[in-house]
Amino acid sequence: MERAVEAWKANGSFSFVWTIGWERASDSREATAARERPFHEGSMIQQDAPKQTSRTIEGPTPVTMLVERARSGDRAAFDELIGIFHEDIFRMVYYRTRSEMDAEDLTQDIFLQVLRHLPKLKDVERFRPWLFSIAVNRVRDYGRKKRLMTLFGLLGSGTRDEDEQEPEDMGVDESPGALDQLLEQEFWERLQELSKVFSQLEREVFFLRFLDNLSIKEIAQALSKSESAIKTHLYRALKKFKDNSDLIQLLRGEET
Amino acid sequence: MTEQKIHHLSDDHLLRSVIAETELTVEMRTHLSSCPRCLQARRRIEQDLGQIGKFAKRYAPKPRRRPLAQAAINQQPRLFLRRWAFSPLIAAAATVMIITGSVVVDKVRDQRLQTTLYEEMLEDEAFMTEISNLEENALPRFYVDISNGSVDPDSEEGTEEDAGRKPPKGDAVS
Repeated sequence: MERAVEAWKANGSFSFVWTIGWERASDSREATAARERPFHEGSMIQQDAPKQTSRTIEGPTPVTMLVERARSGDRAAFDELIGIFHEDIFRMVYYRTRSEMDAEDLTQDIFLQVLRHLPKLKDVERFRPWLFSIAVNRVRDYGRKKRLMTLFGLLGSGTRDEDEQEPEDMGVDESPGALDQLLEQEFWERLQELSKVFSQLEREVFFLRFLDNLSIKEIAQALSKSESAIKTHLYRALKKFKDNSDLIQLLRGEET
Repeated sequence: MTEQKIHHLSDDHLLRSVIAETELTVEMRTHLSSCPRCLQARRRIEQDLGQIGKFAKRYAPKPRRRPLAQAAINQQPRLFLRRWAFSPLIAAAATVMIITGSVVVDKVRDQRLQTTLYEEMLEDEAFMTEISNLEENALPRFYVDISNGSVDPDSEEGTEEDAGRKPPKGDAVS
């Protein structure tokens, strides 16, 4: 606004209007870009840039180039793709299964399927949503089988492994590690409570957007739905999230 | 500047703006860009949502093994059996073992039965032979010897065989 006023003083009303319009357009562009960017730090890769979290890659190697090479049978390129997406897919599976062991196995299965079906991928630009769609379907199949096994009494009813028991209540321990453990436990419990009030699609959309950091467009491609459908479900999920004061208080660090 | 009635964005509109600004009308977008209160409210929501991702990433474990080691990529991938997949396999193996075991046990039992039957047949045959002999020679041996003339009927001493002779088994046979 100040620039616009100065421009007006210097050059008249036209400059004032032009400057105002430019500032608003800039703000709008920045706002739109921020909207599409992930919400938290250490964010996911951008569309064509590789992510370097699990290993150091010498020099920038666009994902699409790697996908092209891997699609033609280049095993080293596929190995690099695994290096880029491995942790993201593992976390994605862990958020939904809450079992480290199952997450390891399912991640393995997912990349096996990727290896098998990669030649069928027509648009290399869509690799990331395509990868997540495989992961979503694989996790869904796993959930279905697990419910079936539980029904026949071949599995326990809990969602966690036997060797992943929650830490016992040892009384008051004020060490930082214990506090962090408590926060961790609290976080997962409240997130699970929140996800129980979501429908299946709302949960998937919410997790993909705010935990896995996919854009609306990528989510729509991954779930084979329209963007407007994704936005509708996301809106409903956000309404339910806003009503979940326990989780919000935890996220803000407020005492309950 | 005249004081205008300020219509701040509702919670619903703020949520829609978090999803995508294009969900709002032009007027709402204009208001949002210039209203500190609405901007602050939207930032609050975005911060909360951002925190979920941060917390989740922070508390999620790191993967221990890398999927598809280079050697495995060159091989035909095998299905990785999960713990729960073993239960039906164990049940199937147990069923096969039970069926096989029952067949073997039946065979052994049949053989023993046959042996027993065979022994009983031999006993029956011996018994029938004795009956046949008795039918042919109904008199005790002593009297047969007398009739043959090999024994003096007036003698008071019987043969040792007669002394220890037990009544024929044929008594029980009708």
